[in-house]
Amino acid sequence: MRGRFRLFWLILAVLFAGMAGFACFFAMMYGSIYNRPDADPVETVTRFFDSVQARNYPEAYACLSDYASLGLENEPESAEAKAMYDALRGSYSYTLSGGSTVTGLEASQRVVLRALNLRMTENAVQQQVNGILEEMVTVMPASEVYDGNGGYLTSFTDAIYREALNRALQNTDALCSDTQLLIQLKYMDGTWKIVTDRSLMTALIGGEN
Amino acid sequence: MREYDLEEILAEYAEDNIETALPEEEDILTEEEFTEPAAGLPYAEDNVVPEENDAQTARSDDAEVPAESAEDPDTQLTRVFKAPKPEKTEGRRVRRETESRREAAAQDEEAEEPKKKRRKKPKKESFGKKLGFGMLSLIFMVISLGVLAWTLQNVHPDTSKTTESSRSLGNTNLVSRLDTGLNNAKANALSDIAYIPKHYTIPEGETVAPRPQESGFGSVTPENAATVMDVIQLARDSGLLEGQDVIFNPNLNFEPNTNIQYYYDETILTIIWKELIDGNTVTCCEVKVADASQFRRKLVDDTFGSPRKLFATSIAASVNSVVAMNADFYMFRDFGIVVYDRELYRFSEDTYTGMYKKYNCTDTMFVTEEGDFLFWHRLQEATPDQMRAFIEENHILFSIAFGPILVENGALTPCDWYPAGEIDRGYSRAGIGQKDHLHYFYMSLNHSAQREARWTVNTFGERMYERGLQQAYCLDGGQTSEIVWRGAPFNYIDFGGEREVSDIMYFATAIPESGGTP
Repeated sequence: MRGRFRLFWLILAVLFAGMAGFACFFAMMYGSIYNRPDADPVETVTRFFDSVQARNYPEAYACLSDYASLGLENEPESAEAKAMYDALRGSYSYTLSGGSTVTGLEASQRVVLRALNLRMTENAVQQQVNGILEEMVTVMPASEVYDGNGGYLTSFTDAIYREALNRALQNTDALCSDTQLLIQLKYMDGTWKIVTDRSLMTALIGGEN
Repeated sequence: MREYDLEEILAEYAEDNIETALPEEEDILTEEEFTEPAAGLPYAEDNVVPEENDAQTARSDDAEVPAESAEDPDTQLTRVFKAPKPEKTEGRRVRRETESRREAAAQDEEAEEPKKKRRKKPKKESFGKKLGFGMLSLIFMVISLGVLAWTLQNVHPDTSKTTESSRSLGNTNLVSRLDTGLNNAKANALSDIAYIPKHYTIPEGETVAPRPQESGFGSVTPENAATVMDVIQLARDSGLLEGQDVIFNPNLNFEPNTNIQYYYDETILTIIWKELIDGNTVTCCEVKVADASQFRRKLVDDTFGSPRKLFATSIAASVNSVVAMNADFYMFRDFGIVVYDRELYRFSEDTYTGMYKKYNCTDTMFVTEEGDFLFWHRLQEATPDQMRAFIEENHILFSIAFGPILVENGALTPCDWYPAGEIDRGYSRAGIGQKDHLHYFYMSLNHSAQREARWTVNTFGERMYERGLQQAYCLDGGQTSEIVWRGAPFNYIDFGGEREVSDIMYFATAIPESGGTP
């Protein structure tokens, strides 16, 4: 009995020494092994979307694990795109759906992002085009409407599109849609950071839903 | 020899035995008594051999000692000195004398008791102590298990030094993507009254390209090669070809019993075929893309240094390529300059072959964000910082480190020595060239079931040059040489089977699977 009792402790001691040795080896190979998440992933998600809404992009990018910039601070090239982007930025709203799930150094949080939908806007614009075309053809001189081949001038079609877009954007609420997002996060540098994925990026520019 | 008084010795031994036999005396002994047995040690150490009759007596006495007593550790000292024992009568006499001496001594002690110092004899480990140690061990065990549980729950590897997190922070421009999407939305909205060319791009951060449309694929026999010209005309009409000539020609010496395959949509035209050159089967592929983002590089796991290797067909399928080809198999060797996702990953200034440095022992081909080839020649010097500056200034997306350069600025560049690819041996070869803006040509010479490929690098370069390329670069050959079309190798691969590799290059459609918007 006495001998067995000592053997048990010997095995336990060897086991713990082995684990300690493994930890040392692991640390040597991969650096520090201590990494305990102590922040709240929800805080990061909230900060990111609040910053995007406030157009504070450096703050928003600081919440990302894999991108230094998403280019949201840039201005679109065309006047129509600028109008569209302004409407898009003004339409952002979000709600957290349920609590966050933390597994080790990874976490996830469901978010419903409401934003102007590009596809719906395109459809709304398309519905306006023919009506505006009829109006403008009747009020504008032919020289500003047709080119030499009988086709429409580019300046004329651009004007039609601009007008159609303006009319469509007068009621942005009707053009907004909800996108369910599962935001993935990973713990790094002492805080939670968002792993940017395609669905998040697409939703931010009013894409698929 | 030393002389001993036998009587005195026997008396001492008898006294020892008596003392150990007296239970009352075991617990508390005077200092003198406690040290008494030690005084007898010299006797044993002197190794005095007792007289024969004494020895016999000792044996008989031993026989009288109960086994239980013999096992008692407390009597060990006694047993050591048991051998030379006196006869019983003599022993009794000596015992009596000893007892009387002790009584006298005890009386003296009682008188001097206050002066004498008393000492406790070391006790055997008590049950209480054992229990104490046991409890202590239990506590430590519980603490250890607690620490282990806490560690498993809270301590995780610091991933900052792992290969996964060695990926640099990327940059993307969502507004540019929005611009593209709005342009296409406008084209759709005004489609009844005006034609607005759509523009598609694959975002730089995307690791997977859009899936090509099944309706875009086609296949014709060599006899019907002219049909392919109709597809080329479609590409020309849509503006995809930007007025450029094509390499494909319906009068080429096509390999019998092989079809000419193609893919066409608004963003990409790809034609792939096999032809006979010098009696060798050569696989050719011509690609014209609308946007530079459609010429892409893929490392396994999207991570430089990933030890995982896969068949080119698997990698190609994972990224939805229209057509994919082998590149440099960068994990197979450690030299050359490796750039991926605009980041410099490999640039070793260690010496290679005694005369070159690892980074410049080979020619390197860079691909810019405009889709152009840019060469870095072997022996061309740079520091890592200069190389990073070069990458930034030239907007380099990725590199291929194999070579040599076959054609540069429209001129053939023969090579007489090169550290990779066994250039002077007849061998299976692969290479890629740029004909024009976003217009590329891939050629591979492989063994076939009927014949073995036998081209040196310079011969291969000449064959590439004959296609009117502006730039051409040799890729890893041999069994690595492979072109993947619709999920399967299109060429015959050396030794009849695919080899697992670490990377590919590929061309993809830019048309989003969901349509025209982002």
